[in-house]
Amino acid sequence: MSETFHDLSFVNDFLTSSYACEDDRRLASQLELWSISYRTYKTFGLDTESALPQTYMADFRRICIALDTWRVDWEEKFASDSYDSGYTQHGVELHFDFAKLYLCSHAYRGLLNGQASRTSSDLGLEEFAANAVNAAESILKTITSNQQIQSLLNALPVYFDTMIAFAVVFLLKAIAKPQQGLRIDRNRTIALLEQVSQTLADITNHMRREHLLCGISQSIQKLIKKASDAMLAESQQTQQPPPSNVPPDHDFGWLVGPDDTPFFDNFDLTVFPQDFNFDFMDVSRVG
Amino acid sequence: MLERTIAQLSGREIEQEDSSSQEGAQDGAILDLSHESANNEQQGWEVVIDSNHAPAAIPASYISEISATSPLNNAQPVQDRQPDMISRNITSVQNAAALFDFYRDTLDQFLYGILRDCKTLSDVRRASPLLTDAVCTVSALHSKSENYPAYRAAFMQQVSTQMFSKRKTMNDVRGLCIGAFWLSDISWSLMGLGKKISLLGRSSLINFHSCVHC
Repeated sequence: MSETFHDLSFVNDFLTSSYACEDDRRLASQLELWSISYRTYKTFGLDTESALPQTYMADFRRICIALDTWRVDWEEKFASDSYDSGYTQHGVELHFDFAKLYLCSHAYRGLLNGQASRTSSDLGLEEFAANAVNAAESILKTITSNQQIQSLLNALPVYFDTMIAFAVVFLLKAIAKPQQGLRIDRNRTIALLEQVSQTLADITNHMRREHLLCGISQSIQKLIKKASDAMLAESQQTQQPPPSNVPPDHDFGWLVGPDDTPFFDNFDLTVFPQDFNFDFMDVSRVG
Repeated sequence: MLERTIAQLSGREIEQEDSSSQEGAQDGAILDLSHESANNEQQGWEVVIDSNHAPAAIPASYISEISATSPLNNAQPVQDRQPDMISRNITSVQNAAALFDFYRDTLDQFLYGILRDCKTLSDVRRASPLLTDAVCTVSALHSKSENYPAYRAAFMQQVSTQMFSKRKTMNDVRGLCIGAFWLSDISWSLMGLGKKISLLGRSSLINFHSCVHC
C-alpha cells in the first residue's frame, strides 16, 4: 500500500469532507510518513555494509526535508487534538524520530567495517550522523520522561518496541565506534541508557512475559550493564574519569560481532521467535 | 453474429443454463463468470469470457475456478471456516466480552478504530470468527490473562484453517491486521496472508486498503 501511495492521493480531499474523523486524520498522517520511509528504503536499500556514495547526498537532504515538513504539518494539525488526551501529538514526535533515525543511520554505513575510504566530513555526513544520534536520544528521552507514553507502552504496536531497541543498540554502536568529526558524550549517553533500562524494567514488570517489550527489556538490561562495566573498568585503569569524547581506544570490542561484523546487523528486526528473549551476548564477541 | 454470440455466452442467459450450455462446457468449456457466486468452492478450472473487457488482457485471467453454480462443479462444499473460540469452548462468553471491552476501550484507537462497525462482542462474532479470535488473543496478551497461550493457539489454528479458504471477507483481513499489529512473533506471517488475500484471485475485489477503515 505504501509503495503505491500515489493511488491514495484523494486522502487530502477526503479529510476535508464531513465524513472524515480523527482516526482518518491519524491514519492519513501515517500513510504520508510510510511513503517517505519507503523512499528511504528504495533510495538506500538494505545493504548497510556498503559505503554511501557522494551521489546520495542530494537524496539524503530531500528526504530529510520531507520528514521535517511532515512533522511541522501534522504537529500543527493535531495541536488542538483533544481526542486522546494528547497522545497524538506525542505520537507525531515519536514517529518523526523513528523515521529520522532510520534515515540518518545510513550516515554510518560502511564506516564501522572500514569500507568507507573518506571521512564523514568529506561526504558531508556529519550533519546526518548527528541527526541520527539526536533522534535516538530523543526517542529514549521520551520513553524515560513522558509518563503518558510510559503508560501506553503496554498497548502500543510492536513497531514502537522494535524502534526502542533500535535506538538503544544504535547509540551503543555509535559510542563504541564514533564517527570521525562527531563528538558523542559517552557518559551522558550511558546514563540515558541506564535510565531507559530501569524504565523498561519497571514497565514490563507488570506485563506478560510473552510480550515483545519484556524480551527487549531483559536483553537491553544485560547489554547496558556490560557497557557500564566496560566503562567503569576503563576508568579504573586510567585512575581518572574518562573524557566524554575520548577517541575509540577503549574496551567496547564486545559490541562488535564475530569477524568484526557490526553487531547491529545481527539484530534481525524481521524475525521474532515465539519466546522472544534475544540475548545480545550470544552474537557478540566478548572482548 | 460473433459479437452477439459472445454477449450470449457472457451475459444474462447464463441463469438459464440447460443441457446445451453443459454440452458447450464439455466441448470447449466456455462459461461465464459475470455473475459469481459468493460461496464458490475450488473444484477445478474453467475458461471464461467476460464481454465487458477488450480482448487484450492478462492471459491467465481467462482461466478461473469453477463456481458453485457451474454445471462442472460436482464436489461437495468444503468446510473452510472454524467457529470462533467461544463456540469451541476455549473461552466463555463472559470472558470474551471482557476481553472485547478491553480491546475496544484501550487498544482499538492505536489501529485507527478498525472495529468501528462492531460495538459489541455479538457484532464481532457475527462479522468473522477470525476477527473474534484476534481481538480476544490480543486483549489477553495486554491484560495479563492467564489463558493467553490457549487463545493464541486457537487464533493460530483459526488462521491456519483459513489459509487455503477461498472465502475471505474484509472482517477477516481486519482480524489479520489486529494480530499483525500486536503479536510480534507472527506479525510477518499474518501480514503476508493479508496481502495475499488482497492481491490474489477474486478476493482482490475486497480492496485491502479499505479494510483498515470503512
